[in-house]
Amino acid sequence: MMILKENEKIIMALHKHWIVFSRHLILIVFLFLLPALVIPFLPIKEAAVSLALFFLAVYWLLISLASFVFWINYYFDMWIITSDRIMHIEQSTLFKRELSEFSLDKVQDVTVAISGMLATFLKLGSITIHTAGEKTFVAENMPQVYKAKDAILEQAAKIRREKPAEPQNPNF
Amino acid sequence: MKISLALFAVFAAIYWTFAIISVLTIKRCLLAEDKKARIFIKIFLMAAALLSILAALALLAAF
Repeated sequence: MMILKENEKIIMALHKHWIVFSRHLILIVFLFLLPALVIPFLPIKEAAVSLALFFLAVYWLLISLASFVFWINYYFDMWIITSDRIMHIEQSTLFKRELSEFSLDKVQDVTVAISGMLATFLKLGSITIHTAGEKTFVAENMPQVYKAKDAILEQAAKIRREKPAEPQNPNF
Repeated sequence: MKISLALFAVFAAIYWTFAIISVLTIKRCLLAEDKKARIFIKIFLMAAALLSILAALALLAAF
């Protein structure tokens, strides 16, 4: 389970748009239904029905495990906007993930890009966040990009307002 | 028959070990309020359990 700091709240948790997962979903549904298309044409004798059912169950078991792995790779690739920071979890494979995070007070600029008719229709796009450390974080194929941008900028402004002003150096 | 059952037992053991390890691994990354993910994990585990039972019964009926 994700561990948050004291008084830290999750504002938004963004997963990639469902359209990213849809091509895997189409493949999974096709493979799941494939036996229904093939079995009527196979010469299965009455005595071998149970054995055929066994192989079908094993096949579906493998498909269900593959779909679970696909789903993990899709669902756990996420951005979490909290009241203090932004966390990016990159799920590459089942047992490989990278976590990067940066403080919201370092956010300087947020850019949203939506390109293409489908992207406009489905409201998916990319969010680019520029930080004070001259690093750039890009989240692609994200839903609710405008909402996320507003949430990030609003929270960053709130942190800057609450942060006490740094004392000026008298030597300058 | 014994060989078939033994092979299926090995397959089921490998399958369930992998499934349980992956579920335990991802549960550590779940957000506390993420109910959708928890429901999906439960559906996957239930479907896998039902299919395992179906496969075992079909194998027993085949011999």
